[in-house]
Amino acid sequence: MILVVGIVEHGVGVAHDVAHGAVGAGADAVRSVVVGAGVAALVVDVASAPSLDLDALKVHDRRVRAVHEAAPALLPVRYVEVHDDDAALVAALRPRLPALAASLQRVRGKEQMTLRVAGAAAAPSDVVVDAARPGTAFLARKQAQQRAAAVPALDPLRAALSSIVVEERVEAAAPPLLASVFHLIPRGRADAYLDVVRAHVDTVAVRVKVSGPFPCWAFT
Amino acid sequence: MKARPTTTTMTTTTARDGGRVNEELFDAAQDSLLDLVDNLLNRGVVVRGDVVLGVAGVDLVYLQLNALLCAADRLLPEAQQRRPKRRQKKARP
Repeated sequence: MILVVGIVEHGVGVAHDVAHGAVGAGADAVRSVVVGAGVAALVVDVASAPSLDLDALKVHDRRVRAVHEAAPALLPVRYVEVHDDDAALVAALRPRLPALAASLQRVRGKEQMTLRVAGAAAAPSDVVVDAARPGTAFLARKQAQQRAAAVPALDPLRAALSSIVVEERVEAAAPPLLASVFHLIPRGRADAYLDVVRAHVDTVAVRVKVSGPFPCWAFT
Repeated sequence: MKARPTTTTMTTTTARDGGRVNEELFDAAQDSLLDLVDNLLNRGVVVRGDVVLGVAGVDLVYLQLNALLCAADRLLPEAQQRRPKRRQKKARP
């Protein structure tokens, strides 16, 4: 049985490190499985499905971070992804090669910062309803709701971060949070990102908690 | 391998002014746990299929495709494997 750690570019950077045992050791040793078209999966051989407890999560997190350090592009795989053997994994991933290659290109040389946001939710903007076009009106209302869910209160901070942030993803969150905002930034820019947030925190009407940098979990 | 800080957590708070409140969202331990669990269990590549259906750029339907194909005795308890086939409903007069 194999536990999948992440997807990387085959033949680049980490493949060399993995082949020479530079990523993990012993029971934690990561090895590479070529999927095809320049894509490889990094896996760990396990005797049984890993447990789902805090210690196991921490071990896996360290493993993913070690690979992230060694690879210019890494798509972390959600925990726990296990397969019977290499052939089963390759068969499952092969149909997705073009999408995986595109995602690897997107996260190459990048890392993730996370904003946890709390505060009052924005009300959707008013939508002019045309009774003769109910379908269009429905889509317009949905669009307004999605814009509100994107936390427009963060716009001043977004503007200040625009020279650093490459891509953003927003996810509504359960109370006490309002949303989680994930920012893709170039590796090595985390300190600059934090400086900008500190300097502009008073320009937004929501509370913000920043963490990172992380591997690109939210941009796979 | 270069040594890099694992996680930098910074809480930005605002002083009470016009309704804003000066407080921590979470303590540092909770915050680390939230990121750990959120990243590893909610994010990342899923080998199963996920589909978002949208119209005119508006996301409408999220569909998670998760098919498990295996011999029944690997998954179902023995009692369920012996369950009789569903009888067809009789048409009402």
